[in-house]
Amino acid sequence: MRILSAFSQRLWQIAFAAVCLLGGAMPAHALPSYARQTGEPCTSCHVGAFGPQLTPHGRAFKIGGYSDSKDDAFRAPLSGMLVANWTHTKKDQAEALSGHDGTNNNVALQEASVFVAGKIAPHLGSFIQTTYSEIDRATAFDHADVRYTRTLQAAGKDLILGLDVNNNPTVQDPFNTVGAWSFPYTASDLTPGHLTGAFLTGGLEHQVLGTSVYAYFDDHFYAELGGYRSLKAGTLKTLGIEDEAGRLSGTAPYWRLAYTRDWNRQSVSLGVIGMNASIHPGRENGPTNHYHDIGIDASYQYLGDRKNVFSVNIAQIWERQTLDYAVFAEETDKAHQKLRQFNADVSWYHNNSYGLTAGIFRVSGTRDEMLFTPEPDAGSRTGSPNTSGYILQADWTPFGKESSWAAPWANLRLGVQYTGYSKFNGAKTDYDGSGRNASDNNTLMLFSWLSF
Amino acid sequence: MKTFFALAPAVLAGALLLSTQANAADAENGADLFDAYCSDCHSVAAKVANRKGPSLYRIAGRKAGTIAGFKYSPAMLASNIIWNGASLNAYLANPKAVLPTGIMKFKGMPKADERADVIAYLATLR
Repeated sequence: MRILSAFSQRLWQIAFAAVCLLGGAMPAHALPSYARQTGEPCTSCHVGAFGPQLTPHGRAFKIGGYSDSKDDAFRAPLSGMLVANWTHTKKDQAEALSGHDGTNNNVALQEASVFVAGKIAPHLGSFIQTTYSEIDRATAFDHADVRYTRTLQAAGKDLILGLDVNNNPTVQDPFNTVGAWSFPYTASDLTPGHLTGAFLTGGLEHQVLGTSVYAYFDDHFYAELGGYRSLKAGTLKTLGIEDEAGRLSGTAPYWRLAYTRDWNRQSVSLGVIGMNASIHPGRENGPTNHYHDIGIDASYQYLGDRKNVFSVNIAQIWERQTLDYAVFAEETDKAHQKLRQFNADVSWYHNNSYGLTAGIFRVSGTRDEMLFTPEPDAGSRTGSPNTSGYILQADWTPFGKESSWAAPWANLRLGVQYTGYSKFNGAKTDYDGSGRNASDNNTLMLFSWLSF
Repeated sequence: MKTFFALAPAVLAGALLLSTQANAADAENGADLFDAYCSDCHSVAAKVANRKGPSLYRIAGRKAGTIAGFKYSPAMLASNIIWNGASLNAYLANPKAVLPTGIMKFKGMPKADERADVIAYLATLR
């Protein structure tokens, strides 16, 4: 039992590190199927002419159910995407993260995706992704977000009501501040992952099925309430998804409130978001690990004449953990723990083609020598999960404009990204107890991102 | 052909009126305003392309609801509006006031001088 629980805890840590924070390879999404459907260039909906960072117009398209179109003609809501990268870390890793890659300087076709993305019927639209990873040599069901919306009038104002079904808390969020669609929008899967992060930002990614209802009133007030339940292990296996999170105890509630203001040349958003989840790691009945997350976020965009766009995204999440299961399994003697996660990014896109983005991130949590133990590359010598650093990115998006080559059939982004760590898993030097420094994980990544 | 001859005077009058206004207003500023307020949904490319809104290329003097391939609201189709300075000015100020059941989501441009500049810019699209 203890071996199993320790294994599941380790699985959780590895999964989180690999999926959520660093290796998450946030799937990218400026989808040409949406451009074909609306007749609009990528620049209408996306900052820098490429996804996933949404302009106010793009947010409205998502909130409106992905179903706005220029006419009633049927168009197959199909798109594809290829993300390839080269990854270099300052110091070779102790072991390769996959059986198909080396300990450094890896080239990978990280994602090859197909999407069912667009209008399915009036008021009904989808964003459904299936992805092949050359690193995993496997295909798996990826992000899914299907929504039905209607627009009503209330007090003389527009009131959009929506029903959403998705498989990843925050994938349905129309903002680029928290979770699935926050910066970095792409990251290498082949770097060491740090130990933990807020449960809300990936802890249940693809492991659940959730339903939420939302309302957007007068283009200002957004409110959403939903709940998630675990997919069965057999279902996950069928979908090619690893059973990583365990089983939710009952339904995990999710909620979101936001205020938006759009002056055409500028826009802002302010929001709060939260989720509660009780997990049975290993899926057996008994004590649970409980996570209570609440976050605040804000964004600002200067859109001007839509050619040069400046944007800022900020989010802070506070998490309280009650780890009854971990105590029961003797993984820790601290049932009550805390975690804080902060991220912010600033970007400037010139002529919808040339982009510079700078971001910072910080995760800090309860020091726990039982839970976080030394291990080459991925462990913690100090028992602290604290990690912080910065990300710099420069990219070029040659297409995606109305007059671009291949519009609206293809788009491309080429970029270079550098991630630097000031602290990793609790320390600046020898963080893993095997002599590895935080800066040894500093990562240079070149990427090519094609959507069609 | 009959339709053409019936609309020709209105088209010419609309184009003339827009041209006159173009001289008084600032078409260059209008282009900038158009990019900020209108370009997400409307194309002005010479190769006519509809987005969620119809193409606005050569809108001067055009009868509303006549761009091929665009699905207009019944209200717009029945409006018999000819797009000239006056009708554009009223529509840009508050689309719902002109067509309460229209489908354009734009809430309006309250400043008269900005509307004049946009109309001046639209008049250059010939």
